[in-house]
Amino acid sequence: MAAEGKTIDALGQFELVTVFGPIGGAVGFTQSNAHMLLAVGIITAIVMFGMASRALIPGRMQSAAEGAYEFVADLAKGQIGEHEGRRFVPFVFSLFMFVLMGNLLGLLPYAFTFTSHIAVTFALALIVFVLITAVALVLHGKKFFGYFFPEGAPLWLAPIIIPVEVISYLSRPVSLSIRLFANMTAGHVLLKVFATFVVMLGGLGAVGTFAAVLPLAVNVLLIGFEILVACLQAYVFAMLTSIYLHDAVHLH
Amino acid sequence: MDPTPSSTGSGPKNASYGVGFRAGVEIFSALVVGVGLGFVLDRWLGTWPWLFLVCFVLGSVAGIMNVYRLFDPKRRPPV
Repeated sequence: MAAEGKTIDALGQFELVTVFGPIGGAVGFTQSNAHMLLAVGIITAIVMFGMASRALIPGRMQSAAEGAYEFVADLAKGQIGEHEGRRFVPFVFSLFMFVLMGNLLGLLPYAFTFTSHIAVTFALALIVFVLITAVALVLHGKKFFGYFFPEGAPLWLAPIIIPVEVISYLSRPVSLSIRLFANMTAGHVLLKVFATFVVMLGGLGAVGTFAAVLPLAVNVLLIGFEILVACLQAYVFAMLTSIYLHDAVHLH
Repeated sequence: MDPTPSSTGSGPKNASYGVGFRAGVEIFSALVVGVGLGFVLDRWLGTWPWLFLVCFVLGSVAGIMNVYRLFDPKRRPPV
């Protein structure tokens, strides 16, 4: 099943199946959607139950909730600016926690990484792109289009500079989505391949069982690396969103 | 009183794996946008393959500019 014929089935793990029986099948509710709901539930639980006690000296749960909020608030306000950044902290917080939970939940056994589908990551990147364009248009009006022609550049270069700047601006959602999707997919493909090695070597008898320890050790290291990548990619997504928001609020 | 524009939060700033991957993704995504734009414009205007080639070149220039902006020392430190 994992290895049919001569190939290892590394990509079958990303196929979507409907869950919750006929009800799920009727609306097309897949394991990706179920994990999204789980991620949102966990985030809501952390914030709600964490802040329920509202103590001045925070306990463990409240420290966790406050720590998460302060981390994202520092990130957003540090990039966008102390005053303007406050308006965007809820958005960046939701984005960061959603991507972080999505990446981390996928590392549990039998779980699904919903951020490993380009559909999900491109939807998130499009939300960010529409937001930064709308913010720039609302705040700067027609001067937004001056962004595509940097000051001080000679006028005769305009037919080259302007399309290049437009393409560079339009590539932001594409790069945001591809970066997250590729990191998650590549990580899980690696995990699947080395796990298949373990099973294949284990079926080769006594020597194979001893040799199977090696890909198992690699998988242990890979899980640690994937946890790092999960947190790093969520941070990069939120950081880039903050940088683009800074550009939208200030430099346009 | 105003904090500097650089990030005050903790976090990996220039993890080499991340930055290298990001540079590749920036070039690739600019190429994708350029090629897609060229392809759509050519189908709309019927000028295959000239606009496609022009937009391919523009997309690669945009990709290289993205990487330059990523490593530009004048800006705040990139992620």
